Amino acid sequence: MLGAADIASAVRAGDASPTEMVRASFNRARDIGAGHDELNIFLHSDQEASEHEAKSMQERLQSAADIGILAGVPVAVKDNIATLGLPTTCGSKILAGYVSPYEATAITRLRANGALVVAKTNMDEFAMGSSTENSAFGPTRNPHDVRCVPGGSSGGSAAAVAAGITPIALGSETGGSVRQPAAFCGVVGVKPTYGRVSRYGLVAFASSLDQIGVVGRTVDDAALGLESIAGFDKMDSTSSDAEVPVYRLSALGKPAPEVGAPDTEAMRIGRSPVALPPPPSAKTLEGIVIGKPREYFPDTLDTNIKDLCERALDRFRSMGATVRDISLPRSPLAIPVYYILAPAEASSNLARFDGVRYGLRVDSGKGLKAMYESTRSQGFGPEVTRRILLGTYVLSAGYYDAYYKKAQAVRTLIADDFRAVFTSGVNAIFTPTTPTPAFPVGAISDPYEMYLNDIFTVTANLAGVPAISVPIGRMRRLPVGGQVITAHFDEYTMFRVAYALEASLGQEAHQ
Amino acid sequence: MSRERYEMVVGLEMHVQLKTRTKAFCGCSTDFGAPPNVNTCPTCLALPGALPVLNERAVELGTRAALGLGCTINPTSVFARKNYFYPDLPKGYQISQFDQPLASGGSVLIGRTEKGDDIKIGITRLHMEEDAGKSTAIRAPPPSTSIGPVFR
Repeated sequence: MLGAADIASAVRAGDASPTEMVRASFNRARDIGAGHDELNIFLHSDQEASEHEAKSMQERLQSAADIGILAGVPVAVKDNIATLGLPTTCGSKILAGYVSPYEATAITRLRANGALVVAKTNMDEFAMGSSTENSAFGPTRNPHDVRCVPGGSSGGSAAAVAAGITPIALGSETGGSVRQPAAFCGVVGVKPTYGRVSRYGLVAFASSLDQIGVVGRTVDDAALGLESIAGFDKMDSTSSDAEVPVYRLSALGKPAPEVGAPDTEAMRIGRSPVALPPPPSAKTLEGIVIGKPREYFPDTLDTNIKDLCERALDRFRSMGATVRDISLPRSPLAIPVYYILAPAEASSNLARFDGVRYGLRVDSGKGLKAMYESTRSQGFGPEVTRRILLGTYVLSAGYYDAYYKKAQAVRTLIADDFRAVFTSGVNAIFTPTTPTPAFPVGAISDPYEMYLNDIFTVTANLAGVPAISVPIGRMRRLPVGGQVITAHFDEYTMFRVAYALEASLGQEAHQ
Repeated sequence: MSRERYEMVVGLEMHVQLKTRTKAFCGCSTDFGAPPNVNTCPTCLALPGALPVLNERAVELGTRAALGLGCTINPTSVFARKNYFYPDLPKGYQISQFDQPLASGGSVLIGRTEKGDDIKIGITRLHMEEDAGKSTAIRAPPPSTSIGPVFR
């Protein structure tokens, strides 16, 4: 399959039409069995509507309008991001059939850059899960092995890209929900800095952690996707007005633009541009210091994953980088902290699903309170219910200081660990993305065991820093991902290191 | 126990609507008398994914009121969610202020005693919050729930 940049340049040059691109996606989806009874990747799609959209783009192309950096690129979108035309159900029964009357800023920007939204992807209900098994509409299967999960919660988005249906898909992250499925599916997944992408139109799970992310077949696909949706939005007061650098491969080596606003020391790291000549040379990462945090390489780490990470670290060294042993001492506290903060925020954010204005309503005529109760009891699945209960408990009077407030304090310490590392001369941190490769559908029934899937990814969400997962090889024929984390708003260095690793590993990343 | 041992203390909570052209957390008009569902948007309808944006003018007016009452303006002021289910509360929580209000302290002079001393009513705090103008849900037929996974 062509990369996003190739598709866009072919479409802009008139060598390919948007309609052909849309058809190619739908044909591929049919050939590979993306439908409900097979891989179950999509919750909603409409080929006729997509072709109609492609046709009107074709007309605009003929009038010599510049369509944008994603001209004619088919994109799949996680079902918790509001889209016009296709429903937005968050993988939940409580929103079955709901069509948003407005669109997320990220989607408006995708379209403004020429992307064609072809499908909404399956997900864990309200993004709560690590396997896409919590979808009210059945689990998605991993295209590399249909017995296995694709990861989650953005499992449908990762599977769509892994299956070669679209080169780019949007997902969302609260604790690793883009990077973990990207690792399980052998594709690239980016979680940008908190505030880099507008959350307007992303159905809120845990507002202080949520961020829209991008899945790509390659690092360049992910970079193009992020570049097209990033930047300030007046509809999201937490979006940053820091300038968005050009992330795509074709721009690498050109000076990174001055980044405005938050004047943290960390943000200045990685400004000095170095060209990335293909193939990578001993100077590709010259001057770059890669941190290897000991807490992410415990003795219990699977040896296959450890060996693949060591190979990646050797490649960094051979490209001129220095690898330094570092410590992020508070990282082991991340899972308990996350499972206090995220459910607390979720319990409040999900209060609006009450059966009054939209979605499911279960009303037996016994009054308003009974209607609220039966709608929510029947509309939410078990994991969402568990987290609402947990969140309501930790926020209740008398417990707030002991749980939520204390967890916030520890969160600050976890963020301080990252700040200390990035201000001590480390440009990027490298870790495994997940402790295991994809596991079989139904294999994990204990919620806490499932939560541990996010052990290496959740810290970046708590600290707000950007992180990317790239394929670094396989074990038992299943993909394994490596993670690159950089300082706040330093996606430029993150992409630069990821490009170098991708180029250095080549096909070995998928063997 | 004699009645004299008790002292009556009255605390007043005053709600004042700020005279803004648009709502507290979205750009919708505050005009009265428009047909239903006209002065609404994804944010004030609490549609999934919508976010609030604070009305700058409301902060200006709130600050002006605080200055007029001799309050101390807090340099950092935080909004908090007050969670409860209620028909007038589309989000399931009210955006209010709790531990860090806009302003604290201050007083209102309401007159003088016969001796000529000021009669001052102390002000504990001045904070901002949203309140629904009016929210009415009519019992409409349940929305369509026929769409499951559709791949076509």
